[in-house]
Amino acid sequence: MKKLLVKDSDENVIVDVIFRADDNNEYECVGVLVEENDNLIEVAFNSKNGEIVDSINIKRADIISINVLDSSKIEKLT
Amino acid sequence: MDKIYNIKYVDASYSYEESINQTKLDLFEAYGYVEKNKNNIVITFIKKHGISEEKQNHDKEVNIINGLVIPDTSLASISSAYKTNILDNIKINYAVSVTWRDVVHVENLPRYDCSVMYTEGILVKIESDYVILKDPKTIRTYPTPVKNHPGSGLPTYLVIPISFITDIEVVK
Repeated sequence: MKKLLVKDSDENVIVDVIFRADDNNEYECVGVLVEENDNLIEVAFNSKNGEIVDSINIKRADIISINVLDSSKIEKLT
Repeated sequence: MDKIYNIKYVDASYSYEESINQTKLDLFEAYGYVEKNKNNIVITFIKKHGISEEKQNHDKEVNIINGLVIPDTSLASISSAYKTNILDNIKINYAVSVTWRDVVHVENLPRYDCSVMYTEGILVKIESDYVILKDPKTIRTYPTPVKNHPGSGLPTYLVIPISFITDIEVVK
């Protein structure tokens, strides 16, 4: 799978991921792609003062689909 | 529920330190699927795939796999500009009881509203957007059963955004 994180970029990569979990059900999540390697990706949902407080590691083998979202089109509630 | 939002919000926090140097509220930033439920904002981080939007919006038995429920007054812009006269007759060093709505972290539950907390403590600081209570004793009064909060340890301070407070009274 093509790598999505751009090294040395300050821009967040927002992704929507559909994946299969150990219980064999399919789940969907959205968040900031903060890490990726050959085996897994980490998607962060929540940060406190800029530090990640909630994230999920997803094995690449469990990913059904992953879409990069245009951050300018994500609505803001701030 | 399929709409994706970027949300900035504030939250209450406990401290276990001997002194507190809090100068502002912690700022949280989250991404998720968002829906409004009365005066609550439900932010879903992980949901089961393939459940129709209609079912998710109308069937409150659908579990949120991982997410948050926050008071609508916790949005950063609302909290910072929040105006109230609820503290008009309250002064520093008063013993007070505070009823407030709290952010809830939801895992595998059909939960769509915030908790309600009741705290007694000494009011040691009043800022424009938060108050600090010393030696707080907190119980969660909703949902039942009533529980001590937080579950472990005795906090020395509690920081509460003023926009979370629904009632505050002087304890005689």
